Amino acid sequence: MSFLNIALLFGAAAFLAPLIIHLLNRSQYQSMDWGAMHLLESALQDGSRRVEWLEWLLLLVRCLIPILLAFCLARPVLTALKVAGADGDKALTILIDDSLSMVARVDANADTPLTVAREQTLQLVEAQPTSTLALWASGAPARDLIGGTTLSADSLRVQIAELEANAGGMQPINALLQCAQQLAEIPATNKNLVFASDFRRSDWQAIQPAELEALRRQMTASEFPTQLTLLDVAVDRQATSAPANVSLQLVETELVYFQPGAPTTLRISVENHSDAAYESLNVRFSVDGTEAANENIRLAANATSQLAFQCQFPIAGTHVLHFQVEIEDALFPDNQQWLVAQVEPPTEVLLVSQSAEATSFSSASDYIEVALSPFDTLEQNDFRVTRVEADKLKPEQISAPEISRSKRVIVLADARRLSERNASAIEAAVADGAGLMVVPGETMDVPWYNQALYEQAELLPRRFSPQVTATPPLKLLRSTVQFPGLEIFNTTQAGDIYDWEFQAYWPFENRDSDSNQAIDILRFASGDPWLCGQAFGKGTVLQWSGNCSEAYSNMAIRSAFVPFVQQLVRSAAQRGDPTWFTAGEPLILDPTAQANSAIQRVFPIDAKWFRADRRREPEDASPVEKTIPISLATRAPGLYAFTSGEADANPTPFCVSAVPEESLLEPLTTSELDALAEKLGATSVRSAEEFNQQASMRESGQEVWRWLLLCLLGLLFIEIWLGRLHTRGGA
Amino acid sequence: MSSTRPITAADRDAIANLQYFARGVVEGINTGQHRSPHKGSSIEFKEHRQYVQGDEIRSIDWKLYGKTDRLFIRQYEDETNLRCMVLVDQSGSMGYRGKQAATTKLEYAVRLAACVSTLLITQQDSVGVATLDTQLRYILPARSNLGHLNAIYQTLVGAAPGGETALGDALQQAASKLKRRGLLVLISDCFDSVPSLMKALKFFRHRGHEVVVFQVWDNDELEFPFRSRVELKSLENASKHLVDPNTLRAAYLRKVAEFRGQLEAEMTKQRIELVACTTHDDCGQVLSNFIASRSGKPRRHAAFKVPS
Repeated sequence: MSFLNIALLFGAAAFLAPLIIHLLNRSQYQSMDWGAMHLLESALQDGSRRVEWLEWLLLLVRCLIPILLAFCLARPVLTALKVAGADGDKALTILIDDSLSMVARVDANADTPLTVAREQTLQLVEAQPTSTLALWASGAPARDLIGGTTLSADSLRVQIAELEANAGGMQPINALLQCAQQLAEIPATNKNLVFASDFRRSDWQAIQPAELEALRRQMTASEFPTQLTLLDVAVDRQATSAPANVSLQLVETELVYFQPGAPTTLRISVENHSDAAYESLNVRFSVDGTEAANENIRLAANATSQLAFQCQFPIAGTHVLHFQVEIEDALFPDNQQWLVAQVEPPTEVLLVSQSAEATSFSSASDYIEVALSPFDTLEQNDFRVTRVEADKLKPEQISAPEISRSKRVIVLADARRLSERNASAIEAAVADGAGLMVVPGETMDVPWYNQALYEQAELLPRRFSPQVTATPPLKLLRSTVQFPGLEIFNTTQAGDIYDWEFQAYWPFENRDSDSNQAIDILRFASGDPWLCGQAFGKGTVLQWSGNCSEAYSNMAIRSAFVPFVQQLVRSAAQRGDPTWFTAGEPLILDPTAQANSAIQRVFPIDAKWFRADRRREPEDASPVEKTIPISLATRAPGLYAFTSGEADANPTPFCVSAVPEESLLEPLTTSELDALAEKLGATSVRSAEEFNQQASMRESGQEVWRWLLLCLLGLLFIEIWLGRLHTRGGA
Repeated sequence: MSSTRPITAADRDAIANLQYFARGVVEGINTGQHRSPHKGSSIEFKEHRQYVQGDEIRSIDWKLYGKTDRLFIRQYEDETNLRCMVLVDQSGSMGYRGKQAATTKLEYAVRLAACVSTLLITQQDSVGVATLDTQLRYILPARSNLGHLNAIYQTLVGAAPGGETALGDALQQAASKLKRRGLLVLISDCFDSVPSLMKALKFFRHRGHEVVVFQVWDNDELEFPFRSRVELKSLENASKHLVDPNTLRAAYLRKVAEFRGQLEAEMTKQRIELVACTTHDDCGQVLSNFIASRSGKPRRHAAFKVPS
């Protein structure tokens, strides 16, 4: 403890005054005769001891009063609350939530959380003139707004003033971790990380304890730990219900494909996130800026309504589809979605099996054939499957010069072995861009595959081992799949691949050289790879270690089987580039193409495509085209155009949608926010002023004169009470 | 006090003052009375009795004879004088005099005793006085002639405070000297143990005496008005106590109230009349109130305010 006016502490000596008065009173008295001594003695016997205690207590209280008064005037500071190193070099990193929910308006006249965040963080910057400053935005992926740290607050002011909340999602722990890592490298002793956010429940409910622990470890990793402060900028924290908001989402977009001349059904869902019901909502569907359909729906409170729109394109090409629900609600950007339709001919699949005809689902090739052509009519299927017997396969069927190599996939399922010429033809086709998928089976000649396709041609990523039986059956290891096309199985929306069970399989041998570039895409729970792949020339090779027929696994009778096989074959065919991303997903480009490529934002998600009065032309007919860094291409939802570095390349449109959680505007309650702060080892504040007070306390301790003054008042009351008790003789 | 002590000039002055004071008081009392005590006691009719031979002829009720044709004798109350013994407590505690008081309690008791004696002798009753503390110090037998008053005054003037209070023993000594029953007036602060005091007073009552107790207080003893620390020394022995009046007052006043309540209850039980007074009270008023109460008038005995 230290004192700001230590000289006044000597006033504590005033406690001697009541002591001296007491002693003087005891020594000065008059003496006189008394008659009624027996009554006096009787009274003394009754109450003298209690009165004596009272006298000492009263003396103690009277001595404490001047001591406390002197302490108050000396302004004591409780240095126990002072943080080590807090008075040294300072570093302040401000992390601002720039996700879409930050622009939600509770009502037309209310400030948005972003406005409040701007005001408060500007105050923070003003109050830290000597700090090393950094500014981050927390939308996924998190980004450093000033590219490092600065001692000048000017650049921060500009960035804060210009900051827009248009990130389609947020991963708060990732953002905090990145900020904490940056802070850890700054040679400062007083490190503060302030996270200004609206703290919606949807952003935090999926956070795992392990993530929180990782963050805490990062914050305390360095000698001088980082102090995290949650700056609450929500304007409706005390509201009893979430603000009125309606969102529009595309359903199973990943599984929708467009073929020339074939009708395609598109499904959307419109969800009401509030307690208010809507009698009439207009939903528009437009293709390439032209209205194609218009539906009017009724939406009950907290209900979801699904709509289906059908479209058909006669020839191959790329089209921009746009959906919008016309409503003025708390959050406008989640009322619309884009979809880029790539109309392409179906993928040619050459299915090589041991038998030419499907025989009542006895082999893997039977199941794969059905999975790739589930519909009766050719136009409805996205794959054109040609099944041939392995022994009758001709090299001309493999090379097929009339078909583009990049739209062709060869599937070896249950094929015992191939002739040397056919193997060479497959090697040449894959090297030229075709895809190859190898599925082992009962009839497979394992030595031939290892010798001809693995050792000689080096087509296969891994060497097969003889078949083994798994008891009990093996399941796949749960993990986040990052292989293109298979990301949809990170959720169970397209089916759950992790309930597949395998009774027998052909395990892969360990790699025999470091030059083996095979990647393991999926693994068994035992750790053995189940699916691996590698690039070969311009093509892609995928190799299974299991079989999908009923004798080996149950995968063929599970709902995920059909989309899984289709996605895998599409990946092998390298069919087009992905055109639909969820905000925050990485956009991975070939490094050579990345050098000269450019991405332009055609329409941000908060641009109104249509006027509210339903006139057909876009409200903003010529939106500003803004070139953005590739690393941030999927950060803000909207419609983009990608131009590769190749000569005469045409721009390819793609779209980014916000994560559905951004539409859930219900904030954490105050107590939940406090609990979150506790879990994060942080403090929660409502304003920059409050933060500055706490920072000041950490730097120099807390002044406690107010508490002492309260104690002093309490003592005065006690003194009065004891005095009265004393006067009454302790009764 | 010894009866052989020579009377000094100061004693004479004191006796004169006491005589003057007592007569003034008694005349004031008699002036206020409407009935003569002489008439009241001499013609009180008691009963009729049948005439027997030898009775005085003048005692025959001739009016009754006219009505009944039989002879009856009218009988009256005995007209013998009242014998009163006034006992004055001269223990040490009676020497207390508060700051606001004009006299000590003993001086007040002496004046009150003189007034009572003068009043009774002027009514031709016999009055004797006695002084006592731990024992009976001096006793002057009862006489009814006016000349006896001087002896009474002289005895009272000679009373001086001293010794501890042991009223019980002293009263028992006095009881053995009072052969004939009569009125016993005790003037004291009664600062003795209540059971011991009551034991002696009961004895008097048992012997047929009528007992009246004048309890004399000083206002300080009833109010304990001291403000600063004070050392109180006993008037009867060597004990002394340094006390803080502010803290002790409440407890002390409780004890006073308890003591008075206990004394009053015990005396009421023994049909002893207790008259409490303070040295601030007017002696005449105290006596006047007392006489009025004995005549059946609803007047207050004590002229002082009784503290709660």
